[in-house]
Amino acid sequence: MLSRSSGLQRRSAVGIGVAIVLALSAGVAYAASMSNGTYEPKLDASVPNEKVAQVEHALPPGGSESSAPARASAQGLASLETPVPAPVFDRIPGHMLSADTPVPVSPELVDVENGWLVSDGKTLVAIYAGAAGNDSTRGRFVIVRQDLAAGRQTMDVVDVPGAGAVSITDAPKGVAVETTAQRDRIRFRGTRGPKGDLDLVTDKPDTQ
Amino acid sequence: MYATTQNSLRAEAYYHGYDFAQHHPGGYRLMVLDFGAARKLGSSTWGSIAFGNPSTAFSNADILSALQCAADGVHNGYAAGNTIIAYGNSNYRMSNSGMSQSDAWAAGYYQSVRVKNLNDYQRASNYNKQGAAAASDIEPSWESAAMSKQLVNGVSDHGWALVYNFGSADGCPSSGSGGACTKGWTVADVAYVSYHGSSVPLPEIYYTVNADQWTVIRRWWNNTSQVPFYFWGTTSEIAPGVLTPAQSWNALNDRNNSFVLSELICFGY
Repeated sequence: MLSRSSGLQRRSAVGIGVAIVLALSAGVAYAASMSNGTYEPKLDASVPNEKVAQVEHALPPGGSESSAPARASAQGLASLETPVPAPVFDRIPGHMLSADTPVPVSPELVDVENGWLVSDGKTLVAIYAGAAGNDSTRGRFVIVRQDLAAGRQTMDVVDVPGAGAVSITDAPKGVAVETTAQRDRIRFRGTRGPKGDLDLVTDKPDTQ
Repeated sequence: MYATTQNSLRAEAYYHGYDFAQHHPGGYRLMVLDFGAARKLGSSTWGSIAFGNPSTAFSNADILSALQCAADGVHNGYAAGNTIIAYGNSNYRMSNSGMSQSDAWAAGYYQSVRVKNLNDYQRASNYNKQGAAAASDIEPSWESAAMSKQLVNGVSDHGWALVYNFGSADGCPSSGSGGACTKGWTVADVAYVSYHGSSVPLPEIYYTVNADQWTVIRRWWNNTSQVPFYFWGTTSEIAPGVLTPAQSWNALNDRNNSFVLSELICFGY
């Protein structure tokens, strides 16, 4: 039987492109007794026998970390060699997302109607418009922002209560707006009638 | 990942890895790089299509290169702790793209192969504080259960990689021990993609009802299997209107005391 002995400690750095799993604090301990399971000391938990090998593969082997910079230490795998990339990222003109573009956000969070994306190669903004997964009367925007060179991502959720599922009806498009559009306004309409703007400076909706 | 070119994909991966390592609080942590929807790209080529625009397909070779960059970034930014780097994808509309069930299986199989390739790279580089795994955002709304099971089966049949399911139990009942979910899925199907073979669950818990739904999943599994069902943690968001990461973990643990392991996954900070 496993038992939890202390509270959570969460890390403050996460992302969609980078979804980060956080472990609990060191005070969390689990007993070793799982039927059909094997105790894994690195997790301080028992895992099912059929998954033991896979869990061991996932866990780092331990020992000291190489002190060499990444490229010097990786020369042994010439066929896989990948130079440390320069911080140069794609510019993406403002576009409505095509229907076949995958969505990184769960339908439980937002049932997506459409989306919009722009990046100037330094920062990126993606907006997914639709309805809250648990309430179809509640319009919802999920706004993903990335600081690309910093490797960081934030997410904001903006609700439009009573609007029904919202769709983006107009948003800045093209190369010329790759930077300015990230702080512009987008037009939207809800299935229950309301229209409005979403201000990307304040992340506030303004309905008419 | 929002890249539309391979160079940008590699750069995204590197700098995400570097930043992750710089803020690593110690202990064992998992960093999932979500490369998008699993896809068949050619007669014998698999990979994924990313979230960018135009939506761009990246082969597993491209993805491995990016994963290696992520490993380099984690190494160069190393501050503390141990990091598991996961090759993430999703079941998003696989059949709409023309994939068959055998294609979905192959996508999972070669996902696991590339995870092993990443591990080989980490070992050869003496990145001793790193491990490798697979991850899939399995959403019942996005694809049939039959196709989604094959994606997970492929990973399990290869047998090397652990695969975290960070998806949902969309439409599943919030009480009882079985029943129907959305789009023809059943509680049994969600349990299968979450705990069969090499898979482990990191369920999305945005609302308390999600914790109820996943409790039904666990109950179903335990009623039909000799191996008890454990949650590896939870997936959540740091955003208004939904449970905080701590609340999501607590909501699941309150309903499944002692059956929730110690991980949280989040998508914004």
